[in-house]
Amino acid sequence: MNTVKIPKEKIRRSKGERVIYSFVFAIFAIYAIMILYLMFWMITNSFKPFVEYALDIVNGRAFDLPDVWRWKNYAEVYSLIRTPGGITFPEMIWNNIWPFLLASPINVVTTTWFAYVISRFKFPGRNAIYAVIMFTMIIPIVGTGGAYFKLYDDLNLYNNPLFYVVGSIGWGGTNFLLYYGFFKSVSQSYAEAVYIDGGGEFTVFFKIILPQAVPMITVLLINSFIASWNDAMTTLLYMPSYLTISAGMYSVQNTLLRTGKTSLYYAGLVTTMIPMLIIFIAFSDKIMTNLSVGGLKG
Amino acid sequence: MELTLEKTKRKKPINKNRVAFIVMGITLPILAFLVFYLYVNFSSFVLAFQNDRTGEFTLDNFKGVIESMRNPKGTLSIALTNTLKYFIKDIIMMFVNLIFSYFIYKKVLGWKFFRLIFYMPAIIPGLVLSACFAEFIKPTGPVGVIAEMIGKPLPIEGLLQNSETATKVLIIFTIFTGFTSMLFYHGALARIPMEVIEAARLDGCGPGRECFSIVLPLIWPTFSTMLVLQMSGIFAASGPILYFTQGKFETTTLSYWMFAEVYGTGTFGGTGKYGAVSAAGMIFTALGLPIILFVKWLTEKIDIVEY
Repeated sequence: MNTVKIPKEKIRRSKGERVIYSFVFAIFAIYAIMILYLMFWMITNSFKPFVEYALDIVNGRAFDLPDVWRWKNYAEVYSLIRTPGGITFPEMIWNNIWPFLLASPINVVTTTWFAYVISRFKFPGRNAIYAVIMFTMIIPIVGTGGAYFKLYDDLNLYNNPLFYVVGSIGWGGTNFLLYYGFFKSVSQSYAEAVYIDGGGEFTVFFKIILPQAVPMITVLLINSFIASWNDAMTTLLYMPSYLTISAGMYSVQNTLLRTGKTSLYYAGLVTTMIPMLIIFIAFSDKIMTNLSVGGLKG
Repeated sequence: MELTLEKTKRKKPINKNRVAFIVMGITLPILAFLVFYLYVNFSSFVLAFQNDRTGEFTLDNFKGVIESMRNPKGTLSIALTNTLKYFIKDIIMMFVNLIFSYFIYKKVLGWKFFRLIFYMPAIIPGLVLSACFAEFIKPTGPVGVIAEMIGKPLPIEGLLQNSETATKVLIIFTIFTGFTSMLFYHGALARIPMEVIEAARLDGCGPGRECFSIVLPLIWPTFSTMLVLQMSGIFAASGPILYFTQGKFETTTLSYWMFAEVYGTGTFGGTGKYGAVSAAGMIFTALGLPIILFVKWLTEKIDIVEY
């Protein structure tokens, strides 16, 4: 069947606008070239034999492509990279995955449930709870790092996998705000239909409301996975025996660079980057269109 | 016979299912808040007035912090100056992000590709970008080679090992990787009905007026929220100092200093100077509070457009 496309009427840009848009395009293009070249440079250097990289750098041939493409660097990422504490590269990857699998369901359920209750039901103390959450987001109480460290140690959570479980309980923050805004905008008519059929609040939330939030949950989960993949400080500070990929690669950085294995280090970094790029490319449309922050009130 | 109408207040029956749902939904988050916010802040307050070793009451933590801030070469004085530099950069970048996302929204040539490119630094691990950038700007790296070619060689120790240039380089790096919050503006811009823009343009509205009189008021809730959140992070503004310099060459910031005091050399409990961290935190919280409340008050003066 032939479909007829109706041409969308476009508003023509004036000459002045066209100049501005060309200028903006040029800035964007320069930025894109810079960031892509930076990546290209690292990727190509990750294939250089160790000696070739060192010689190129010393002899001012930093732009040169590898004479010999040493694919073995990538195999050696898995066999040679090891933190001073003995954590191997595959273990670092696993240390990113298991906390996510452990903590994310708890975080999603506690945050969405809490946000739904606060956004939908009137009960004594509700406004106070909301005001307190807003207060904690707006007022910057700094310098609690020492107290946090002491608390986690007192609770025996230092270097303990339960650290992730306890820390995953959502009580506020940006995710709460995003879910809160979403639940406020969901139509109440679905819930009323369930009430008429004799269903209760649990049915409404878990079977009707939560499935509607899946696109937003997916985006926030992806963002949280990316953030944890890229975060080094938390594990360095609280989970030194379970170093994640960023923390692990940070802790091997000096050794690899000092022993002339820079290209192996680059190969490790490129390997670190690949899963994130795949996730991002697969979900980029979802990530780009599902997030927006509303106003802060209270 | 007298008929009297008795007014009876009929109480709504308690919906047990709803009560259970509400109680179960709020119990864990409230407990978490009590422990990880309220108790932590109380504990931090106590630590600020405690001697780290003996646990006795003292004002020494505050004295030490103030002394370090008054000395131009003191760690905290340097940290505060750098933090404010990062903060000013962050505020400027908010506007740059807004302007850039406006052009993406207006579908500048290649907008889909650029949207991905601008968001890439949020995807690529910070360590990857910083390690690559650090090698790139070494005197022996590509930037060094170009500088040599144009007759302006880089200092032999490199830009990151020099107190004069290290913070500047770090700020440039954070600008380079700082376009990721465009995503939030883009989300808000995407919700603006195209008809509003088209109608305005047909009525002769120019691009400048369109941007400031139509687009900005429509995305004001997002922008003001980002502004308030940015202000609330005034003393947390920082860069990837851990990856680049570990605070050496006068690059430390308040948040990095606090991290370093707790982490130390990586051995359990860091330096253990939690009291100094808490005292500094109290001082900067007190300084930041009126600024944030003022900005929040100011942003709320502007009416929100409902659409």
